[in-house]
Amino acid sequence: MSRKVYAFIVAVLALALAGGSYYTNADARYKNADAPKVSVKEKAVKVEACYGCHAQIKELHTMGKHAKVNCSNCHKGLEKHLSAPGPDTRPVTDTSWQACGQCHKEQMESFMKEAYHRPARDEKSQLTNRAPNPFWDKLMMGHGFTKEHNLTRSHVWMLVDHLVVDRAYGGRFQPKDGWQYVLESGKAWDILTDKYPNTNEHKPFIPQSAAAANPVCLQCKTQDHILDWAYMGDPIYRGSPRFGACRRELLHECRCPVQKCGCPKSIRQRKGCESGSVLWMSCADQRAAHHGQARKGKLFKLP
Amino acid sequence: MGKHAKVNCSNCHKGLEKHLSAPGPDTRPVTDTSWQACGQCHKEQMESFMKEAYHRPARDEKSQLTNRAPNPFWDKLMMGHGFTKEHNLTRSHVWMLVDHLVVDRAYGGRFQPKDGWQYVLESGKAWDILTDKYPNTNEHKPFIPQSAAAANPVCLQCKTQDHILDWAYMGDPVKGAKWSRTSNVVDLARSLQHGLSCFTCHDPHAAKPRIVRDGLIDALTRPDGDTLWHKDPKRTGIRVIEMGIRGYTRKIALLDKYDTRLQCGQCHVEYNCNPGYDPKNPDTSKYSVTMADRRTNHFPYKDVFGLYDHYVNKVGFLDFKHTLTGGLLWKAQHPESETFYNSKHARAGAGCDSCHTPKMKDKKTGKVYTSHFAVTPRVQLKETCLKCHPKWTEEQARYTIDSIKAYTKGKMRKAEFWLSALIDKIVEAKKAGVDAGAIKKAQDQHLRAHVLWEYWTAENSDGFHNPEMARESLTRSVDESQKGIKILDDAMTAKTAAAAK
Repeated sequence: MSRKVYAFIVAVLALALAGGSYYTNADARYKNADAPKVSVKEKAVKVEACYGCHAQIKELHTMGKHAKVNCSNCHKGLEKHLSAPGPDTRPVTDTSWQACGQCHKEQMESFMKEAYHRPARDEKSQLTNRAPNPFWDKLMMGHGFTKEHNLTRSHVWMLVDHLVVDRAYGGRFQPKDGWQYVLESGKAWDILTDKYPNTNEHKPFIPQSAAAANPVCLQCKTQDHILDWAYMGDPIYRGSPRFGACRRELLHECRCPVQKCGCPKSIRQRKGCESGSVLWMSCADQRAAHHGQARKGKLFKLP
Repeated sequence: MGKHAKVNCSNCHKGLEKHLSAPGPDTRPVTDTSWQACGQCHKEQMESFMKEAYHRPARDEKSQLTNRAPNPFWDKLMMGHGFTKEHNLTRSHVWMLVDHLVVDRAYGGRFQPKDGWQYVLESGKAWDILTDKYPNTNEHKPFIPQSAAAANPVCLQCKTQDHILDWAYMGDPVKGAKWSRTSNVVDLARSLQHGLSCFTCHDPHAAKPRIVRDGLIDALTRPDGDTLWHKDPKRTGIRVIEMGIRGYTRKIALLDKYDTRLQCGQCHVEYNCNPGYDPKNPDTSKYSVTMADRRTNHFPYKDVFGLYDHYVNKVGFLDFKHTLTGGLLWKAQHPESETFYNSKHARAGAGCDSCHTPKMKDKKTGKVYTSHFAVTPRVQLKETCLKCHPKWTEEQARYTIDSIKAYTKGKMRKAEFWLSALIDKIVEAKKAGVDAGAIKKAQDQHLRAHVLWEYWTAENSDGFHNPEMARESLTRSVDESQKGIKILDDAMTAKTAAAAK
């Protein structure tokens, strides 16, 4: 190889490396509000099989335009559930925007748009803003909103904005990429990180922050947990009081006299157990019941 | 040693023939300190330097409610300091000397524009634009209502370097040096013409990057080795050169490479440039540190967290006495360099130039040059932010900048609220006859909280240069104020309880 050719190749490689390093700086970490990852398409199921146990769903599903949309569009793991119905094989419900966006493209895309007409974290107690100081901090002295209280941003950002605000979680949740997060949209935990993953203690971690968030706040920030949240958020299970505890572990539903519900016979035969009632049991009790041991729990009549 | 090796001395010095025929101080050549001296060859650089930014107005008073240090806080928190007379956002470098000379706090209103408000568009030599309304006196005092005569020769070190050859190292009043820290500042001001000079950052002989600001050279050569630069394992090397051929010490420092944190850090730093008080001296009826003291030309070159200790315990200097509390306080200058020094952007390799004086392409010739139009990146987003963030739109870049600023400004307002409450509490406690020890402790808390806040009213980025540092500092300011309030609340409660017995 001649020296000229060799030098040319070296130069090209050097340029490629330089270009690579240039474009791997700030934007290598840039997250676009991109489409969801491609997942394996769930196999369609016979809806009648689902209706067999889920009478309310049948009523709702058959009344509207979604009547012909198969359950598998929004629920995963159906085959396993149908073959062995029960809490342990409970299907996953897709709560993402993309679940609806598969068909409602324009609606989803317009929803995902971000407004830039005012900044993120636009503190209301600035003197030019809605609740200016010196009044705000005096009039609200003692309340967590004096720590940080911002004007709103687009809906697509609302959960992230709630998680990072200084008054909510004491500063434990922070953006992975610093202030670039203000442009990022998508799943909250793709954008944020928990700086204190080894503890769930709810307290201020950084100066002049507050741990004022609670599970009810989150009802207006997301409904990802809709299936795991009892009416009014009543703590009708025993066990961990921490928000996010999974209903699957704590609750056993019994829709007697449907025989396929997977309830142990002892529960089905329990006095007062009839169609439309729910047996709430602690995790330990539920396990005990499944093993035919003594069980506790309380029967509730569904509204 | 440099690219100017073949540039003849006569390009920048006049009267050489006379001097060569009879060398000596009496035939000393004139050195051309104008921008045009360099602009003869560096056309694009000079023309870009001379550009003016109109993105915000002149004399944009910071204490407006929409601005960086809004009232009612500013005038209360800084009561007793000259900056309450007029305190503006910055303008382009080409206007910096004129803006300093006309500001109400500096020369008592004696220097006024010749053509009234049209001056805000005029650039060039200062005395082509301004006039001295009181030419028959050099008395340094307020001439118009609500003005102050707070300027002094050290202030001018960051407004011009026209006088570089007549100023001894640190402005010491030594024999032979025409100007010093103790000079009459009116006389010095009258002798100056140009704002920031090319040779402030570029050595005209060596054609190498340099610094000339004595306060910074002094900080970098302090035996303590306590500055941000000293603690930086990758710091840019400097070579300090003694230039005192005129019989007194002058120093410059050549840099091993361009380092805008140091070059811009000659002025965009916290420095002391005025007389004040030694906190160890109990007599605060008059200045205990006068302009004869080198502490009046001092660069800490530390970030905000080191300043309380630096000024109170190490140097022994505070700027002013607060009118309401009687406590000694500090006034920041513009600490952009220290704020940026260890910021996320700095760690990623950006310099001040990346955002403020980026590379540009001449539209006519296609030649790439460094723009010397030092301005906010908001007006040149494509050449600055989007170079490293190519997926962003200009709107997104602006949005990100504004978000950081909105958040930080919120924290500033909180800090001000609590400082204001602490001031009220000190006044109340004094009236209630709380013992001097508790008052003194509260005043110390006030100073701590004040330093952690005031830094950010002087720093010209609303936290953008280092958002993490801004948050930490401003929230800690609130903590310190609240501690001060508690000290006095406890003392007053105890006093009331004792009186009830």
